[in-house]
Amino acid sequence: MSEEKKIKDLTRSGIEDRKTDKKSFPVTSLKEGEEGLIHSISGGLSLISRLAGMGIVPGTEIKVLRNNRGPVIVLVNNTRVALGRGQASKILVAFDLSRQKEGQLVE
Amino acid sequence: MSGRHKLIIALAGQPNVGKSTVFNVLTGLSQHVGNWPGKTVEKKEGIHVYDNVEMRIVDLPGTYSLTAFSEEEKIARDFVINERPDVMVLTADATALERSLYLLSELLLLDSPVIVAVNMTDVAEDQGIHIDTDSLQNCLGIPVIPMVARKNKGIKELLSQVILLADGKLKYDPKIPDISQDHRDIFLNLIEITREHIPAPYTARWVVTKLMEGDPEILKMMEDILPGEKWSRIQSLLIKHEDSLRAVVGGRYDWIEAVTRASVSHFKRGQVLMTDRLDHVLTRPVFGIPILLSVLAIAFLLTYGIGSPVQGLLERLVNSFARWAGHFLSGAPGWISGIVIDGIIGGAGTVLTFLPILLIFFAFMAFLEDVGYMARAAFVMDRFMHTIGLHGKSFLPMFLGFGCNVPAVLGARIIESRRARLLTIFLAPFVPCTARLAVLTLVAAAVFRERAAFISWSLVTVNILALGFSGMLASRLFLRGEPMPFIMELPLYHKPNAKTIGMVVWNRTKAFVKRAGTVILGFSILIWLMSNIPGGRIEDSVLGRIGRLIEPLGSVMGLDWRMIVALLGSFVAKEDSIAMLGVLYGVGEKGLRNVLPVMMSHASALSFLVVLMLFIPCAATVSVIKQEIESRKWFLFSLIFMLLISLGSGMAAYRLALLFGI
Repeated sequence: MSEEKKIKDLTRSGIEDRKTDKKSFPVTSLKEGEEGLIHSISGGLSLISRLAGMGIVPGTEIKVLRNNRGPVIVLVNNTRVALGRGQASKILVAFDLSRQKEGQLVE
Repeated sequence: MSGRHKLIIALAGQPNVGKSTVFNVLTGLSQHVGNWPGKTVEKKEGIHVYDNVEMRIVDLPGTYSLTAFSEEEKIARDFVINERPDVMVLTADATALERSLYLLSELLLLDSPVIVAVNMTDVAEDQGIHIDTDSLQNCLGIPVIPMVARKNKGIKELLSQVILLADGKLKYDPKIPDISQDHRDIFLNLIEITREHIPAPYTARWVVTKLMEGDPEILKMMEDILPGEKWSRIQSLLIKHEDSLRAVVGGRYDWIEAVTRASVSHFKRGQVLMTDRLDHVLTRPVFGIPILLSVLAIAFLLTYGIGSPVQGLLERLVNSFARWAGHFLSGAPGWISGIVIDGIIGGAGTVLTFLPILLIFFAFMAFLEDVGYMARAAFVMDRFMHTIGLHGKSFLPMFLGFGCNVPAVLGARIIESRRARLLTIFLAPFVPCTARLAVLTLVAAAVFRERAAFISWSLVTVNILALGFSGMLASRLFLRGEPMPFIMELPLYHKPNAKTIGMVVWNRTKAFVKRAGTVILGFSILIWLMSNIPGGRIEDSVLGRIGRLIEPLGSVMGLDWRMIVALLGSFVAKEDSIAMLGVLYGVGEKGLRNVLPVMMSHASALSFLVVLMLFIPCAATVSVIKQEIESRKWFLFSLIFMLLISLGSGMAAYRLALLFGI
């Protein structure tokens, strides 16, 4: 899927944070199986440091494994983490094509 | 023995890295489980002797990092800072090394030398992750040991390295992570300001890092210590650089990347893991919930199918032991044989017959936990738990409550937020434990005969509804606040480990027996005295009089004074109410099954059971609630609430039963 198409898809599913920062949106707007790059975490110190301990930090790839209405499961650094929707929506991701290509080259 | 070399070893590690497996392998049955002084956090320690060196092994709470945002993190770091263990062993997960090294980056700032045990290297290889431990050792500048703790591989190597490191015979030159480039100036600036004020045993580097992380405890400490002018300079620096935490975290992950780049290699990319295949089914609501319900049904079938017959057998054994003691004590004064036979053997002894039921239940729960299923159960239950103001994690301790409420209350410790922990403890006693279920099934069978199963199920449902109602009420009225964060790792599924499960069951069982021997024994004797003094007949005793005194209140619910006394007796242990009913109705040789239907009307029996199921929990549970809830106000509120809800429901049940002529 091209980046443009991905972003179009996301626009259709409705992303609230797009107005403030066009390049990043909450991880909850990704569909199951989609990947992104963590852009930033818009939470308090306690949330940032708790997530950091689990490997959820900016610059890391994140994959959404489960995303229905309730809590979300993400895969980061080979670790599966269940997050309440509120916490998950504070993780902002960006589609970074160059980075994803880089990742594919390693494979 | 006196010449033996002694060492203190601290085991550190994030949750789910196999730290407890390492601890169990090292300490075995020498382990002691208690509390950290003054805290409601479990402390485990044990002794291991290797090569004539006696190692006191202290298991630090499993935490992802060491910032003082949680009690566990505070305890772990305070122990290292104050007790200065000779060596710290960091157990790292080979399948997610980056994350494990994050904790290492914090440990290296403390003073004790660290050794890294890279665990589960076999699982990592299966997943196509190869870790070159020699290269990792070179990059970190500290000893690194590959290990498969479940298979006992690498433990000996670890121990000999620990001893060498403690003796200073190993190269130890750790490379410590830096703050990311853009914040190095403010870091040095802060060090400059605080340098001469750092209290022992802290180091300036550690304190400043913590200030930049926004660590509440260290901020407070430095505010108290520093002269006002310096503190305000620090404050303005920290406010100006409010993204300092990011710089600290970023610096750590830069360091981790540098360390792992050369030593971790991935091959076999793109395979689908067994864990993901299972999760595809188990965490999907459509399948997840029915599967969870079936797993729970199996838990109950196993527990009661195997446990109940064994319990019956033990009960007969206890009874014949009581008869034997009766002969043995026939010469002794009546009060001695009374206390021994009815008080101790009949009270505390009966409670112990429930041990097999609990044992099976705990073993099954520990099994589910060990293979990794319980975290998925918590995930699936999250949505339901939200309606009662909690999240998925609270499901785990609550479910333990079906075995015994005591570990349920203790289990609430896994919940980070104080508010959620309090609410979980508050609600745990509504979960009907094995003891209450035993009374329920027995009385229902005696009184309601063919409708017993229906009545029993209805009453269990009443308890669950009462739990839900109380949760909604308490979370909306008394415990309002921001939604609680739900962050939980879902570990990889793996084969059960008999030793890990065995240790959990052993520790829980030991705690139960200890309680039967202390709290329950004490109250059994007290209740015996109260039901025998004065006069020796329960009718004239203190307990009997109290029962008669409350009888007018009881009549509203259809309870006569005997049922009231039995309810009061259930405070010792729920099972005891059966014995009390037996004594009070003069059952003797005829048996409860024949006497109860004559003495109790259906409406009264229903009311009695409803009250019993929702009544103030047993003495053992009350004592742990008091210890864990850490608030006198909430403790009292919880007891009064249970009392009111049980009496109110009993009354409602009685009136409804009369109305519908049940």
